[in-house]
Amino acid sequence: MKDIEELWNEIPKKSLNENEINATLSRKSFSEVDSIKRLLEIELYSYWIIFIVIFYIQEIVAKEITYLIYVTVFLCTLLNIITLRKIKKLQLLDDVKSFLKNALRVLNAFVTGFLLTIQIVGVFVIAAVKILNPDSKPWTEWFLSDQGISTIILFLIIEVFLLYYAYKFYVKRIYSLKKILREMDNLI
Amino acid sequence: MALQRKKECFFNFINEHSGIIRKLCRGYSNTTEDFEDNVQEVYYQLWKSIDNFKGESKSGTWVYKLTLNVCLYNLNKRKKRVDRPAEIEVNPKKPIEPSELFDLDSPVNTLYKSITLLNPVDRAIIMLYLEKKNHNEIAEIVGLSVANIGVKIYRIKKQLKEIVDERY
Repeated sequence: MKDIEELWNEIPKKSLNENEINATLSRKSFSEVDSIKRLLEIELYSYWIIFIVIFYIQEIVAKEITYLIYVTVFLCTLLNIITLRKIKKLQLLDDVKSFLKNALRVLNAFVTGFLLTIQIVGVFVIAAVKILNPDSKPWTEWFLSDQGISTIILFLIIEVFLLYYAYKFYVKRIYSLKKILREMDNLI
Repeated sequence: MALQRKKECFFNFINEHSGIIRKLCRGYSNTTEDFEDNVQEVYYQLWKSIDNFKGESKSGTWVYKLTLNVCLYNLNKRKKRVDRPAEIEVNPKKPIEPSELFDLDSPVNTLYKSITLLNPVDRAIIMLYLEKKNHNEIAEIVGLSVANIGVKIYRIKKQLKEIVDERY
């Protein structure tokens, strides 16, 4: 086998014409950071719309529900803004190590935000179901009732699906980026 | 930057650097589909970032950083297409033909197969070394110290030689 360096130099550096570049660009991008950014922005707009709608119809909605929605919208907005700020710091023109560290921070923030949002929305839905229930039982009694148990089971099932989604698409990738960064500092 | 000027600048840039982009992307692709995805993603990101390039660093260094960042970030990632640059017209023509980098019988393919057995960061370092980048440039691109790069290059070269000798 030829010397490695010689072989590398033999690889043709093919140039492309305008059509070929256009053809390559015409395929859709799979940029994950862009899709996360877009998703967070859409969520933010949705939160603001919910906030405005609730603000105008608060007279006809139960007070507790209004507060619950405000708190949920505030917490979710905060989480999204934190992640979007981290995404802004992610520059593809940074050196590889800085880029991977920032990418890891973005993914960590996104997953943390995602998991907290599930809990916040879950607690909101459970509380809303309880508040809207005309029986107005005490909380402990309601949790043990058929409606309470079925609401919680439904929430847990949805949560398992969402956790699996987060694990499959993001948590695994966090581990993979961490591994690359560990290997970077490893001299042995 | 006016669109026409941006396009011009982009095509010149790609023409100048498409060779190295393809060489680096091949080091992180096991299939032609992966390869095309990586090259396309690099072009897409270049298109988006070209306004930010103000010549502060050498354009080559800029392209190496962007290409390696895209390839490393997308390692083992499920690829879901989400967008394309709106300003670029859709061209139904067949995309670039990467066959020369995937020809099963070619020694180049053998070399890439050996490189692929290294860990992702070592792959980046050895490909930059084979591109005749000096230790300072590699350190700047990868973000490690020059001394660290020196040690790593010595070890990776030895490892790569062993892989090539053993397998082929």
